[in-house]
Amino acid sequence: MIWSIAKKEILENIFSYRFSILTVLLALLMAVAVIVGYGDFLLRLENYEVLRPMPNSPNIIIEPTPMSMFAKGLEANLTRLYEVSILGIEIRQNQQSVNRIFSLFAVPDILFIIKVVLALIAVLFSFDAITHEKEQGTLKLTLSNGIRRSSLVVGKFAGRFVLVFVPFTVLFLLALLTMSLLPSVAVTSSFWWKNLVILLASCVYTLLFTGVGLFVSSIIHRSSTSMVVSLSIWLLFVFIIPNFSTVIAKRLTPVPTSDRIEMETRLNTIQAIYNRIQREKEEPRGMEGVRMIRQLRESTTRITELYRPKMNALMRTTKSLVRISPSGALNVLLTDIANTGLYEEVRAKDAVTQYVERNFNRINELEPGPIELFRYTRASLGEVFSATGYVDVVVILFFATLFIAAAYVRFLIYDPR
Amino acid sequence: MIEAIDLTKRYEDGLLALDHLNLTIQPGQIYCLLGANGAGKTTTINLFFDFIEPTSGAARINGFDCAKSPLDAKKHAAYVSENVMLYGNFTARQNLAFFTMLAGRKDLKKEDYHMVMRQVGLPERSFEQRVKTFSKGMRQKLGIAIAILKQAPALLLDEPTAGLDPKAAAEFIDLLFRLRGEGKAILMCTHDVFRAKEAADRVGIMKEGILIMERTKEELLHENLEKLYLKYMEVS
Ligand SMILES: Nc1ncnc2c1ncn2[C@@H]1O[C@H](COP(=O)(O)OP(=O)(O)OP(=O)(O)O)[C@@H](O)[C@H]1O
Ligand SMILES: [Mg+2]
Repeated sequence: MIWSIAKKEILENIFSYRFSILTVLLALLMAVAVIVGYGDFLLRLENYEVLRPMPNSPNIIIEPTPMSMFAKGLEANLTRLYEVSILGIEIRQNQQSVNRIFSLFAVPDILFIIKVVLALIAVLFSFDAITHEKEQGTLKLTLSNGIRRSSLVVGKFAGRFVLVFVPFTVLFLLALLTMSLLPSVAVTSSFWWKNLVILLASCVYTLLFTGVGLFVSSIIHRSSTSMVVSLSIWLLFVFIIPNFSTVIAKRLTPVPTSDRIEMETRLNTIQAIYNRIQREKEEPRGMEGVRMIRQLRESTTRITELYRPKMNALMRTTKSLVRISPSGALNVLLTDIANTGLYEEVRAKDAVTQYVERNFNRINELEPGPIELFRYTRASLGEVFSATGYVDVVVILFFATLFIAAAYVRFLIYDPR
Repeated sequence: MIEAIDLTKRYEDGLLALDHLNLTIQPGQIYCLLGANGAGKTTTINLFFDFIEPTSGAARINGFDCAKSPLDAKKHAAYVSENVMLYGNFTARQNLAFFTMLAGRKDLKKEDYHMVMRQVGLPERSFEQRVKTFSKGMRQKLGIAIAILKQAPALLLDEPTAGLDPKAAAEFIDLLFRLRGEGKAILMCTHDVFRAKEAADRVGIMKEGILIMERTKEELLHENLEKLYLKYMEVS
C-alpha cells in the first residue's frame, strides 16, 4: 500500500515542469561545480608543485586535496605557503589577488549545492504534498477508503523523497566518477569512503527538508501559504541562523584581528632593533645577533600564544552556534570530512607550529644540522568523526527525526475537508 | 446497512449542524436526503467517512462505528463527493486504477476499467485521456465509476447528479436501480426533487440539522413531493 501511494506520487510529478526544470538546474550546477572545482584544484596543485618541501628547504606547504572539489571550505587558506623567519611563521599571500577577483563571482561547490539547492528542491517538492490534494479534493476521496492515514503520509513522504534524492544521487555519482577519472586527481580508498559518507549525509539532509515541507503542508490548508512558510524555514536554516551565528560568535569571543597582531609583531621588531643598537656599543658582535633573535622569537611566541586559544575558542563558539541549524551542522560536517574545514585548519596550524618548534634553530641557522622535511597528512574519516563529526550527525538526525515525526503526527489529525 | 443513531454535530464555532439524526437504510434500499443549502447533508456524509468527529451519537456502516473503527466502516462504504475532483495529470483509467487500489482491489485488468467506464456513460475516447481535459459531468461520471468498482455494500452520494446532463442523470438513476438490485444500501443527498421521487424508496427532508419529514415511496404516490418540500421550507 505504502509503495503504491509512493509510486502514484512519483508518477504524478515526474512529468511535471517542476521536476524537469529543477533536475536540469541541478545538473547544470553540478557540471559548473565540477569544472570550476577542478580548475581551482589544479591551480593549487601547480602552486604546490612549485613550492613543495625539498630536503633541506624550510618550505612549509600542505598538499591540496581533491576533496576540495566537493567542499572548498578553507582550502585556499590551508594550502598557502608558510615561511619561517626570525619572527616566526609568516603566511605568504601568494596568488591570492587573482583568486580574490574571482571570488566576486563565487561559484558554488557541491557542498553549496547540497546545503542550499538540494534543500530548496526538497522543500519545493513537499510543501504542497498534502495541501494540494486537499485543494483539489482528492484527499477526501482517498481517505474515504479503508487505508491508514499513517500509510498515506509515509507513502507520500517516500514518493516525494525519491523524486528529489534519486536524480541527485545519479548526478552526484556522475560528478564523482568524472572527478575520479580526471588527470592529477589521486584517487584513494578514503576518497570513495568520504564521498559515500557525504552521499549518506545528503540523504538524511534531503529527508529532513522533505520532512519540513510535509510538516508545513500538514499544519496549513493552502498551498500558497504553505510555500511561503516552508521557504521561510529553509531560509532560516540555510542562511539566517548560520550567518547570525558567526556574527554573534565574533561578538561573544573577540579575537584580535590579524592586522593588529601584525602591528604588534612589527613593534616588537623595532623594539628589538632599538635594543640591539643600544647594546652594540658594549657587547661583542655575533653573540648579540643570536640573542636578539631569541628575544624576538620569545615575544612573537608570546603574542601567538595569546592569540591562538582565543582563535580556537572563537571556532568552538561558531561551531556550536552554527549547529542550531541543521544546514550549519551539515556545512561543518562536510567541510570537516573533505578536510577543508575548521577542524583541519586547527590541526594543520598545530602541525606547522610543532614543525617550526622543532626546526626553528636550524632553519634560522642558529644551530647546525639538516632541516626535517615537512610532512602533513590530513585527518582520516574516523578521526573527524570521533573528534567533531558525530555532533553534526546527531544534530542533523535530530532535526530530521523532529520534522518527520511532527509531520506524521500532525497528518493523523489533519482535517481533509 | 447504513445507520445513524442520535447523530449530532456541533462545529467548533458553536453551530449545531446536525441534531439527533436517526436513520436506517437497509440493503437494497435507496434513501434520498433533501434539504436547503446548509441544511447539514454534507455534514452527515462527512460523519460517515470520519472526516469529522460526531459531538454525540453514532454513525454506523454494516455495524461498524464510523468514529471508533473508521477503517472497517470505510472499507464497506463508497463515496461520491459533491464535486468530484481527480488527479488531472492521470488518465481516466489511471485514476480509476489508483482509487480501486486504495479500495483494496488489485486483480483488475484494463478491460474491467473500460467496462465500468462504459457503464457510467463515459465516451470511449476519454478512457485514456487525461482527466485535466474532462468536463464537470465527465469527472462526476468517473467518480461514480470509482464508487462502483469499490464494490462496497453501502454507497453514500453527495449530490451525484449535479453537473450531469438530463440523459446522463436518467442513466445514472438506472445505474442506481441496478446497484439497489445488487443489494446495496444507498444514501443520496440531493437538491433534485424529481429524481428523488423517482429513485427513492424513502425520502427525508432536512432543515437546519433536523430531519423534519420522512416519506416512503408508497406515501409519495399520493403526495406532491415538490409542494411538500416547499411547504416544509416555509414553516419556521
Ligand atoms: N467546518 C465548519 N465549521 C463551522 N460550520 C460549518 C463547517 N462546515 C459546515 N458548517 C456549517 O454547517 C451547516 C451545514 O453545512 P453542510 O455543508 O452540511 O450543508 P449542506 O446541506 O451540505 O448544504 P449544500 O446543499 O449547500 O451542500 C452550514 O450552516 C455550514 O455553514
Ligand atoms: Mg453539501
